[in-house]
Amino acid sequence: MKLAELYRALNISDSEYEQIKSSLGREPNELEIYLFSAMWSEHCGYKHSRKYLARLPKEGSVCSEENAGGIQIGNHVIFFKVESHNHPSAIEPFQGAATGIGGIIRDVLAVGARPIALLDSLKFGKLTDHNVKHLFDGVIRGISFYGNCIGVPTVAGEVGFDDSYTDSPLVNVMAVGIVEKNKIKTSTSAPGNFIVLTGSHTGRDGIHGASFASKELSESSKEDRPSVQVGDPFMEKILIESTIEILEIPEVIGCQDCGAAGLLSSSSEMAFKGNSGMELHLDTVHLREEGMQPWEIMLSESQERMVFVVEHSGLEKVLNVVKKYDIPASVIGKTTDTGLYKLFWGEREIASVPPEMLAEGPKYDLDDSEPQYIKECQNLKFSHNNALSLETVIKKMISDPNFASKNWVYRQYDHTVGNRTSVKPGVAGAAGIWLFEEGGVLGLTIDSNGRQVFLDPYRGAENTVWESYRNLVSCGYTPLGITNCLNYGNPEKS
Amino acid sequence: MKAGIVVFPGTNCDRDTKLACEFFGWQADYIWHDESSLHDYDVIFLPGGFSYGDYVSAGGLAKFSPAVLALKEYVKSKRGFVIGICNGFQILCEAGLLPGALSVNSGTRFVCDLTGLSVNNTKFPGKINLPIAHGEGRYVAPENMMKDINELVFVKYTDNPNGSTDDIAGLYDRSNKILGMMPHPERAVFEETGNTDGRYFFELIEAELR
Repeated sequence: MKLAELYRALNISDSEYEQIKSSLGREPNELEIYLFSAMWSEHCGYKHSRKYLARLPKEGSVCSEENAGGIQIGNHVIFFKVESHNHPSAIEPFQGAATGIGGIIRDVLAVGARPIALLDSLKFGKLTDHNVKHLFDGVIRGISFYGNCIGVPTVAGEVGFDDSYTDSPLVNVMAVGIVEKNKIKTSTSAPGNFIVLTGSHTGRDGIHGASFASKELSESSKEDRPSVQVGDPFMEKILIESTIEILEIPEVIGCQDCGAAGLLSSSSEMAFKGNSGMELHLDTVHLREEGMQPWEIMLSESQERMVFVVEHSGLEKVLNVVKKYDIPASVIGKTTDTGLYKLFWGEREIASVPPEMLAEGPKYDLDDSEPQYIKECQNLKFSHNNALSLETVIKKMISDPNFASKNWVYRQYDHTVGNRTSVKPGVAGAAGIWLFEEGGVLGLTIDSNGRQVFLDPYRGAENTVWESYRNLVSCGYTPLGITNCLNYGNPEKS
Repeated sequence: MKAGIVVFPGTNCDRDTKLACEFFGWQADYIWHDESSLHDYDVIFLPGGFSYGDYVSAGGLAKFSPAVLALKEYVKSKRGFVIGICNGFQILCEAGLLPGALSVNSGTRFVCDLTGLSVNNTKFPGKINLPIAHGEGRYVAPENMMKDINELVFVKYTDNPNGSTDDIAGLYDRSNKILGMMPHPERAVFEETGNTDGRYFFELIEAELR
């Protein structure tokens, strides 16, 4: 394939390609095109949203630039993050939801925090639709399968049903973790250290997951099923325990999980944040199958993997933990002072790019003029049907799945493992998690209001924040922090 | 009192159990699955979780572990008390230390709830409540064994959540030194989690070993 055909097939625009060429001072090779296509995808690079997200207030937060942000309580920091796994769940609901849990857990794990709670916000079409039932059942089973096995309680959430989600369910999952303040580790690096990869063998699953997640769903999307990753919660559980032990080793200076764009994004971000160069030897990565190409190894989104930057004197300690948990691991490279992110196969250099080029992709402005539909909606007239009796109205309301008890859902989630659950699901507007380390109870809630945001984005978002606040204050909690996950369609489509 | 908590890769109630043991002032140590002797301990806990992922069957791999082989020696020497909770109960059955087996819940789904129980011991109130959280908690045994097994039953569901034969939630071995149960007493010890009925089981173990 010609380079031009390749980069276009990988959703790199002509102007982006020119930008790559001029920054590199040469034509990128094939592998490098793959690297840029993943790192500059909407999913990894946030190229249409970074500018806007930078406006969100972060005062008082701990590590707001890490995989998860936190708030301090006494000598501990509570890290929390929410993320969506919508596209994979639409294609393969069980694995899509399960790996959503796995991914969000590793984000709080990467800063050294022990995961102590999960929450989820789920939206489906109407339950009368056969496929919606399949999606609903699969997503709940997926969360149950994965979350229960790793022993993290799913303590709160919401489930909504509306026609607009018939083919595109929303699966947003949130993880909460706790760590002593002086034990926090960050995604960073420094020259002259080893790069260690632990966890599952790297396979061909989830290749192009990052660019897939940014794509529009269509009838042919089911053919994308190989882009959906497969989760192994047992591996995640031993990854959690081994990572917490590894991060207690003082000579371990940086950590990041392999999320979207796998090994590529985790390692290149660490190089970038630590201002170091990096050399990875792809022939040393532990692989699930033979014959994998370098680009496949770099872009694989095989689950349950972590990357560590380790000083020479700490390597043996890390390998001892790895051995205790019998978890696969490889020393795959080192950090350098060359300022370049280089990939090797044996002795052969196969890619060389500055890490900042990968990490800092293009930023675009959005056309943020008000869409026509909002005006149309504001002029809609609703007729009130006063003929309905009060009894009929009440019956209609309580028989609506949106209104009904969600006991069927949370009964399938282990919500008491961890010995912390003070306020269980279904009892109040917010769950309560006992912080025995500090005393007191941590209130947790997750909320959304898609319809209000659709009709009036500003007020809808504002009201969602207030609703979460009300959930907390009505149970007696003082709101301390907030995070968000915004689910939008393709920003390149007008 | 010295408690040993066996931790298999995939165990996830080890920390909960330690917290509960320490509430009673017991010394509680984790025992990694490759340990070959348990004789230092007065009571051995096999906690809940998914030992080795439970991929073959719940407890199906753990029964071959060095720690479970050591547990058999521990039992043979009548050293102390053994309690298996949830996955621990499944392991005890798989290892042949308790009769019967735990199969997939009759509803095919994982069930997490607070469940009513009656306990065959006068030191317990008529009915207690404990958390359950399992996908494979349906107690089954060959029909011709049920008469003998019913003599060993210690805990029964008052509102059977998983289709267990004769509402069986937990039982003893013949010597009354090995107890297996699906409900989680260690999750019902602290006021902060809203239920303290689990304390009766820890008090029972204390009484057993006094």
